[in-house]
Amino acid sequence: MGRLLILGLILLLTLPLVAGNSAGLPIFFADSYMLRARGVEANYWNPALLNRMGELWLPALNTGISFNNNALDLKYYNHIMDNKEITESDKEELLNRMGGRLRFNAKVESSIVGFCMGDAALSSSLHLFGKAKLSQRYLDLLLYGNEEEHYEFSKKDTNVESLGYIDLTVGMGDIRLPLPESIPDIRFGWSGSLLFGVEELDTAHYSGIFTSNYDGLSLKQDVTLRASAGGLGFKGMIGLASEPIQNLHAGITLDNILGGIRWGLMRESLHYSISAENVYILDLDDDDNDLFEVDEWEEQADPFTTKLPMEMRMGLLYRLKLVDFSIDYVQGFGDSVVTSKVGRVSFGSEFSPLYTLPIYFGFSPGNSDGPYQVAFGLGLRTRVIALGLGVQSFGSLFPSSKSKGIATALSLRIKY
Amino acid sequence: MKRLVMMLILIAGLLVSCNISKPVLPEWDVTLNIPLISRSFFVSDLVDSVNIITDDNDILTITGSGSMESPPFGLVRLSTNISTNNIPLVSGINADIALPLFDSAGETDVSYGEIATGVLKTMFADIAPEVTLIELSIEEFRFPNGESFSISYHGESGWQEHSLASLRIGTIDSGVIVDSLHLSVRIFSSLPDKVPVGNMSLGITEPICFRVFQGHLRERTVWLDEESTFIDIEYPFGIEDAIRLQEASLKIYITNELGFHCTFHGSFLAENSRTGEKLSMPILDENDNPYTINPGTLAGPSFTELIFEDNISRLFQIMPDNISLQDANFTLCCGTEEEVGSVRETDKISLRYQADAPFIFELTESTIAPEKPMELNLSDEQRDLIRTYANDAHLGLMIKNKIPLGFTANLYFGDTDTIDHEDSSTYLIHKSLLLRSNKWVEENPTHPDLTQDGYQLFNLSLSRAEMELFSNADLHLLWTFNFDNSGIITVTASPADYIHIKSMMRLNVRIKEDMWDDF
Repeated sequence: MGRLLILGLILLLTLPLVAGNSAGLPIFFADSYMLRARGVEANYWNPALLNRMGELWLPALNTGISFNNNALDLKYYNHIMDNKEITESDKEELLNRMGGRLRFNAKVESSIVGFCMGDAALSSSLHLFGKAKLSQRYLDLLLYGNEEEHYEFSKKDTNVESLGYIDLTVGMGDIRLPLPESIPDIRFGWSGSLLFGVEELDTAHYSGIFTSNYDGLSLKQDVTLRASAGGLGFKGMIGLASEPIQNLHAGITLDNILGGIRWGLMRESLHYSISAENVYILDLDDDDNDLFEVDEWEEQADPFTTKLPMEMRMGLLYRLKLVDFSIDYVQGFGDSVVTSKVGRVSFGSEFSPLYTLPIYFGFSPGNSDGPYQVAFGLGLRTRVIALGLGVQSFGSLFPSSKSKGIATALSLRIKY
Repeated sequence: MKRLVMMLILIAGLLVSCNISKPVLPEWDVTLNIPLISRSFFVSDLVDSVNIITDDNDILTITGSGSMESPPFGLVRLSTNISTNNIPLVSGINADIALPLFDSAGETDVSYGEIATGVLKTMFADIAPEVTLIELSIEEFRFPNGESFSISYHGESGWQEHSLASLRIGTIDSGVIVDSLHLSVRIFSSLPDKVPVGNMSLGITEPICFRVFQGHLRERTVWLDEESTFIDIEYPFGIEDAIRLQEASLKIYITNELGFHCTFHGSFLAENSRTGEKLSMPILDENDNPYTINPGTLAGPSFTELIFEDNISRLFQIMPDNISLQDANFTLCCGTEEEVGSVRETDKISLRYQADAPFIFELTESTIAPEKPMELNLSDEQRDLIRTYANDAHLGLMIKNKIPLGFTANLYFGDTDTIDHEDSSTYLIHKSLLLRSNKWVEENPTHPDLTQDGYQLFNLSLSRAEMELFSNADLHLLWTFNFDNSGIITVTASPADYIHIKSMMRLNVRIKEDMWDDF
């Protein structure tokens, strides 16, 4: 147990070293958490669940870190490093794993402060998100060489983006909708977040062409990265929750309503361009640098808004005496660094043979955005303090060398 | 509870027991398709405006030009031997004496001359003391101002020499041969008339040399250099063994400063130093007579153009690498007695020549091959790179041949310098490609070896085993060419006559950690 705690603390200490990501306790359940959120957390998951619960968040003690990719794992890395060779089957396997592109995701979310009183909550937390994609065609080139005449790269398959902001969120819930008695109670809640943009980096433009044939070697690569800092924004969230059948809870939320951050303080566009046309090796010599045109320049970007696409989440939770089960489905209405148009299902369960020592499980099947996730967590719970530590594995049942990513979380809530 | 704790410890153990191998750059094989070259080789690039030019019809032409000249003609000698002794002198009587003037060798008649050297000797003997002055003048000798040449006796004894230098003889452009000297002697004395007063002797016994001469010159020959190389020919790509030139012409422009008709004598000698063949052609006109060169005048030289075609063409049949002019000389024609010639000591005969051999030729079955294989000097580093990283190589070629020549190129690689393309045991790798002529391409536009835009496709591959040779310190290459025998070929050098080569190298290399340092 002590080792687990030490491990958790070590992971937390590495938090500042990891680029952006997501949640604390929700990681224990692979994000099947919409109907489990209580207290301050309900501000972010379903404000309808804010109800007569006093809770306090302390800085950094509700933190989740997650980073993963869709293709690489430690075992595969060790296999290559130990063999010191990439065989043809290794190449094939690696490209199969990528499924068209290599994706990296990272997310960090950490509490700054939060408390709730009655049916309202006020909270603030830090959010860092990062995504990167690299087209499989680049790895094709690297592993097989330029076997084909023409390679084309676009922003769709190759880009990098990150977003960091701090929210100040107020929410109110447990508002019962006036419905006929024959209809189970449905509670409504809302939250609004004032967003203080910390940084934003996105790939405004990316295009690349590489051809190599009898007409020579031609290359054109244009990249425009847009970086900004100091923004202000807003997002809203509404949620409904109900218990239509005893022990079965259902809920739905709509997040990122009017979501966006307007960047105005620091904005820069970095342009990088390299091009060459019909180059032949025998034309090259030390004095012929002008065969390749390289250009790099920066310019002030116009103020712009990073939109946060709306995201809908639906969930069911069934509670028994010692155990509960939940299922969540989240669907974004646009692709962004924080949302995905690819829907994701997640399952969660809490097993509490002892009230003070709950055990958490989570599972989310993989989709085209990433591998499946399996989460485990352990809590220590009293009537005043709830402490939890959890870990999540991507692409592997347990966190191991086969994992394509890992997430860990610490949760500490003080009730009053 | 214990089970639960054990399970958590197991999970944590899995986490902390992950072994991370030390990162190294693994090795793997990649295929690199590298565009090597895209270049047009124009026939006109062969034109250097010195040895290879194009004619008015854009036909590529081997040319050679230059100039030759004779030495300056020098002084014209008149070898006369005038000697008259003891001519009696009588007071009161002016003696007029005529002495014949002729060249003792019978080669020279002078009608006008500017004397460079010549000496007149006189001696007056037994002169009476009453004689105060004796004047001797020679009508034909005049000073440049026109005054007659005369000498005076003032009592000197013995033979006296009088220089004739700078005197003129005869009348310029008169055409009248001076065949005698007319002497006039006047005696001044106090003695009565008809009294003998003494004797006079005179002589011109040394040749009179003229720097300017008009008259007749017989049996005079003006030589050019003993043997002059006209043309040194370097055939492009050493194709002289594989072709027979069909046409050639030689133009000679002769500038004659001598005021005499001449006849041009000599012969052309063509030599092929590779085969040892020699062929000589006398310089004669269509009637087998020597060419006659017109005379110049004192006002200026004459110009004569001689054009040789058939003879020269025959000479080029042996594909000579040099053509020389043998025993070239000009024989002065004396002409008729009414016609006199003229010459100055600085006059000479010069000629400019231009030989043109258009690239109109017939291909032979010969194989063009250098005498020895060339040594390919790959550095140790390059050999190491090939040995370490190269698995196999493939060279793709696209060639558009817009010239009327097709050929088969053979490359023989070996590890000795004794490669013989006819002995397969002397080389290790043999690669061959057949390049079709433009005519063939136009006649077979749908042939599978052709692209739509007329490029011919070639593939040359080197296996791993063959590439081992390139890591050898001793690497030699012998290349040979065999032309298609397709009749008479005319090679033009217009912008549409070129060979365009595009090349791609396909390399299978092994990526290794140290290769970046090596490269």
